[in-house]
Amino acid sequence: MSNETSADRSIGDVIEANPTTATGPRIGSTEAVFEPPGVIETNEMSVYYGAFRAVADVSLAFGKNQISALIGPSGCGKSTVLRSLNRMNDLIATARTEGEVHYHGQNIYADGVDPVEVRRTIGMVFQKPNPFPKSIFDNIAWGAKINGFKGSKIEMEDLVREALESAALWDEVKDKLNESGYSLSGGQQQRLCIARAIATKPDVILMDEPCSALDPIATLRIEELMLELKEDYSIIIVTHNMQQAARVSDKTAFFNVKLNDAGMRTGRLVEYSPTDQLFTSPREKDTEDYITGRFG
Amino acid sequence: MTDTKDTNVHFHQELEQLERKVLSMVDRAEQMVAVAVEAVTSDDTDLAGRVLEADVGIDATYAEVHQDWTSLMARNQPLGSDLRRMAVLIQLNVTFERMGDQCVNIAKIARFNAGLPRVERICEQIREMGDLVRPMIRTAIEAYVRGDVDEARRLPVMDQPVDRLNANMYKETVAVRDNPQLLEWATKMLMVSRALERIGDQAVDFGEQTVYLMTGERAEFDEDGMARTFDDQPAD
Amino acid sequence: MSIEAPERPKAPELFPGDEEYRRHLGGRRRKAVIFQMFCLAMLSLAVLSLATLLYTIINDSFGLVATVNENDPEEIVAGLGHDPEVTGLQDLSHDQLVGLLEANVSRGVGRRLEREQRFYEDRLVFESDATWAEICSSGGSPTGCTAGPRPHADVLQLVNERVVVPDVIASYPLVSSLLDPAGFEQEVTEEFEAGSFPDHDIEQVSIEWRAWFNPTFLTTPQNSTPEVAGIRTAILGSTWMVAITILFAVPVGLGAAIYLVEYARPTRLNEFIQTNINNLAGVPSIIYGMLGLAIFVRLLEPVTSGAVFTDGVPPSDNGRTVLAAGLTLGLLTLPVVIISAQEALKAVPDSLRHAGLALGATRWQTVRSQILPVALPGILTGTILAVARAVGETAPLIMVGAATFVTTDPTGPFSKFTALPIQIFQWTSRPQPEFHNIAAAASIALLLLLLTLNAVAVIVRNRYSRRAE
Repeated sequence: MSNETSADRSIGDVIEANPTTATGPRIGSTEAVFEPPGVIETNEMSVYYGAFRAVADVSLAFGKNQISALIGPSGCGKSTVLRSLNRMNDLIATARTEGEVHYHGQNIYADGVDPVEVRRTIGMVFQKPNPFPKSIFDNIAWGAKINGFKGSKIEMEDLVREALESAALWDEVKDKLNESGYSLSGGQQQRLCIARAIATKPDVILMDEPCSALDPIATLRIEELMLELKEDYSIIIVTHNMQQAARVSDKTAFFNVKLNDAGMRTGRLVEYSPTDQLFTSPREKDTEDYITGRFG
Repeated sequence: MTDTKDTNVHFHQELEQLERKVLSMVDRAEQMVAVAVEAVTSDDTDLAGRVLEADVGIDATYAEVHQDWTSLMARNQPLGSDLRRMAVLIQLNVTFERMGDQCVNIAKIARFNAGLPRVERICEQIREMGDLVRPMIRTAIEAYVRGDVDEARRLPVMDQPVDRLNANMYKETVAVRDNPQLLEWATKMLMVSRALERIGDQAVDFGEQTVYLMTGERAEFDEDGMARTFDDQPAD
Repeated sequence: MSIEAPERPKAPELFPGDEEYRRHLGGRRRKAVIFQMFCLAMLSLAVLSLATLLYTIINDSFGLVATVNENDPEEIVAGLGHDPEVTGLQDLSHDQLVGLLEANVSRGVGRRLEREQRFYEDRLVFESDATWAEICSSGGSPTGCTAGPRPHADVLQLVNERVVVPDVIASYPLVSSLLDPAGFEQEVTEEFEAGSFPDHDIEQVSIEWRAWFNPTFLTTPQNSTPEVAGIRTAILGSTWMVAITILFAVPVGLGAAIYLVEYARPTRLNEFIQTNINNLAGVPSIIYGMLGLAIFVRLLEPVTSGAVFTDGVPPSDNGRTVLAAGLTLGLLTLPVVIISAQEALKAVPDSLRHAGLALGATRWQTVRSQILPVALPGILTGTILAVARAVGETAPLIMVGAATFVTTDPTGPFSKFTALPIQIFQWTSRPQPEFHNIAAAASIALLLLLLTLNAVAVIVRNRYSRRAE
């Protein structure tokens, strides 16, 4: 560079002597990220509610030990997609899924697959915290019990403590494990629900707008928790808060809903990119319009 | 974007206002270059004074823009092209303030050189450099406003004669080394040349920012006007 | 296109100015007050109607009576000895009472009483052992063969009825008794002078205060003499029936409700079933009575008479038993139990179901551990209220054949029986005024029972909803 002053030169020397910057893809680079096989992959999946096609032809691969975020305007089908990953859509009488969802290579919608089994390894945390009307201890122990926990009472207590520690809740509740789950604050209840979900030792944790009912401090704590949990679990989160997706996720999928010729509003996957790329230089115009608020 | 409704109207309006403020700086800077070159080549200390006054305005705008930018960033969390535009604007703020400072340097030299004997050749060259640099600034503004990446890529090419003239100025200075008064004057004019060359570089930098804004890729223009990305491959 | 807003927040022509507004407000206030007064008037009307009902019942249950005893109880007691401990008939021993009966009733009446229910476990009073064995082994044996001995209260009542033979010749309502007791005496005197009581002497008449509704009333069995009749048989009959009703209706109703809410998919068949259940809740109870008669009493007679459960002689000679009545009432309450259980289950938020299922639980595990405990207070409340309604049903019991005159307590599901509402119905249809008194007293008993059941329902609901907080 020309016109370097003595101050510039010393800064340049410093930078050259410490090449810790610039690892990984640059902002705006179209260089492909190395994709290990996904822990969950969907293949041309569509979900119908009766005749209404809620979301169409979704093909996504969610990475192991990553946090993947699904964002998009309301009605775009992101919650529908999330619920189809652990067959919770089965609970809706009119819901029908076409296409495949592979969990470690196995299609969970194949004939003969028991959704109860699927849900043990793919757990879920919901938008509004929903602890059971039982004690804090029982909230966590119940999931283990109904799945056939064979250990002793001591081992159960250890399991509960482990789950609460992983959910960063142990210190706050260790003296009141017998109190009702409802005696906790909203943020604590949600962490209790997370502890409850991880007590069954799942592989994947699905989170449907887990912080939208919480205040900002509680939200941040849960986001921190997600980043810690990432080491042991794969997390897929639906959020309508773009900044949250930007803060916690490794990759983000943007869904959009368009009115088609038949007058139906069907959601589609528009873009699935590494998070920093999607939020600074998205590939698709629809994504750009959405994240800058130039959206209808 | 005529088919999408803007739901972020207030932010986009404020962003546009910020942008206009920043561009007003470069507009003024371009005028300052004209006046400063005239001042230093025509030995006009009044004109030099006007440049110094104008710089006060630029510095004030710089501070305002900085404040507005920080406030806009805190209150909105811009993403995508809005985020890139914010990144570009804060850099341009610094760049144009520096342009103003370079003009101030030229104006100060005009005052310092007042009354001294001049070499007409050198003055002509300085005027020529001024006439080359000012269109560069105009081109850069237009490229930015139109989002025209190709236009921005012309800037490094436009910078080449400026660099050549700057290099040549050393020879001209050396040529008058036998006359101590002229030498003093010429040495100062060498600094004017360098200031103009820096203004040209800053215009090129303006172009690079435009390319980043439009493509999301950081590029450094090399001498051939080709954008060079950091993995050492040409972008095209 | 935007409309230029004027300086003022609302256009002056569209909203009234201050003066007009105040006038308008006055009119609005008046209308509001009128409406409020109207609703208060309706409430007063309702309260007045209920108060009238209560007044009628209570008025007839207490008051002055003019009694003539054939044998004065004090004289009888005095005739048995001078024990200062003994002040009235109720203090006499079982043996003494039986002795009185032996001395004062005819042999035929005594035999009939003993066949209905014995006086002693180990010996007979009016029959010889041989005759007793003979009548007990034949078919259609009387209830005394299998029932236990008469309790003390029973025998006391018999003595009262057969030895003392009280006869209430006139009674006075409560309010009049309180306000104008002398008027009653005058009325009785006039009646005597008019010759209304040829069999009695005015000297024998004693005017005393009588509470027709008293603890003895609750523990003495049915009797044809109103002065000594009680509602113990009716209460026990109602209790047995309610127990059978609950045992039938609750598991069936709860199970059906759980299936309909948690498992059933919204197919046409399920909607059809649901509609029918809703309609059945409104079917008149006499239809259920006819159903009970046809199915439980006639068609299922082997079951309801107990014939299929015993090898030899069935406990009852026909199907008109407590079991049949209990099952009929069970059918009656079943739709209501199903609907209220459904409501309680539906009130449990879906989020709990989702939470349970998302952990990999089966539907049953989720329902049993998470949904049922939360829905339980609602289910209990609904069930108790449905049962309370069944307690007061009369028409189906008449059809199924609640005997209006049963003096022995029901001992099992295959007993003959009567029930409180039946008793009230029967007594009200008798002409003698004393029967109206005891009918009113029985009504108080029924109302108290219903009040208790409703109170239990409210307490249960409050206790559980406080716990859930």
